[in-house]
Amino acid sequence: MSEAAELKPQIKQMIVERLFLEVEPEQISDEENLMEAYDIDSVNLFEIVVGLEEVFDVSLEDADFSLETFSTVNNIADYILQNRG
Amino acid sequence: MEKALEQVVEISTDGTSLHGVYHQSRSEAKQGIVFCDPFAEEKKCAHRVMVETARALAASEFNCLRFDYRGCGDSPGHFDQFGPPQWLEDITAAAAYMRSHAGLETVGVLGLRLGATMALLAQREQQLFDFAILWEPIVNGHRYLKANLQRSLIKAMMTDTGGFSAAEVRQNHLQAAVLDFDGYAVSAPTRDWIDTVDLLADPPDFSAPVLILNIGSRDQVRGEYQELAERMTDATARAAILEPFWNRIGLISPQPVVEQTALWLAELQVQHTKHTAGMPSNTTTK
Repeated sequence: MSEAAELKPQIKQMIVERLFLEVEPEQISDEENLMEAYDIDSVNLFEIVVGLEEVFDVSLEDADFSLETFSTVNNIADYILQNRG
Repeated sequence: MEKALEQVVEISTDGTSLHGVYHQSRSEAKQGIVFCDPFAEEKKCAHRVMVETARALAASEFNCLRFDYRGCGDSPGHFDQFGPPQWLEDITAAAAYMRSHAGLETVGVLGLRLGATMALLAQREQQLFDFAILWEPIVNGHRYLKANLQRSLIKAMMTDTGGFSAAEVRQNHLQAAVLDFDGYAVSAPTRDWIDTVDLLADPPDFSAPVLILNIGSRDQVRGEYQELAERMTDATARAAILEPFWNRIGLISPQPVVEQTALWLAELQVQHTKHTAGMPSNTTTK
């Protein structure tokens, strides 16, 4: 299994837990737009940022704050793979 | 269980009067808890939970005092006129109120976020409290400010459709004379004071029992809270599963945090009873 394939269920789990979503992690698809599908606002997005730092040991720089980075599970997985310590 | 009485009170501090609400328990017990609110927008979001918690604890047997720091809520002054040095004095005044005006013998503190941190630091100046309940204390002020910067970046990213300048947001955050802290004007001295807070590097000498409550999505205590508990004389760190209500607008039941807090207080009372009866205690706190 590739690193990205291993990461994605963990990312979904983190999102469901931190946003207290009432869906099963596996119901989130890799490509769906998270902002639209789960009404993610700035407060929720901050929770995801904290989750990325705490769970995946990545430290976000100013330049990393783009909607593209957080838009899908695939993008988040790519970001973690490129930036984790 | 009968509802506790609630009364608006004035707490004297440094020539002014703070607004407070005293939740008087119907119990005869001479014990109480001072509530230390969090900072800025977090105070507003957490207000309902703090009120409901005070009511719940007063309905058992703890008289509770909620109050507004100078420049906050219904206390006099403007937010940017005051900062942590004055707010530490306000915490001291609230503790004194509980012992002198309310005549309580045992006084503890319940603080949330920066309020929890300030409660510990106020205790450093003098022994104010017999126990402390710290809900999600800010352990590292630098990280707390960094989180605020991240929130500002996220807001700019989500609202400025024409593209935003991260450098501009950072510049405002770190160097402006007045920091935009989630809509609150925070002075440079206050920002600098927060920036220096590091409870792990400089742990408060709090010898009384302490509960550190990690509030979040997992039934698991974060490393920094475990470490803080280990560095204090008689502290225990526990977890409660609840949304970060200090960041949320909306109805959130405080039941998980109230239950954990009440449980710890009950354990503390059992310990105290055994101690005063000369019995060995089996309760371990770490």
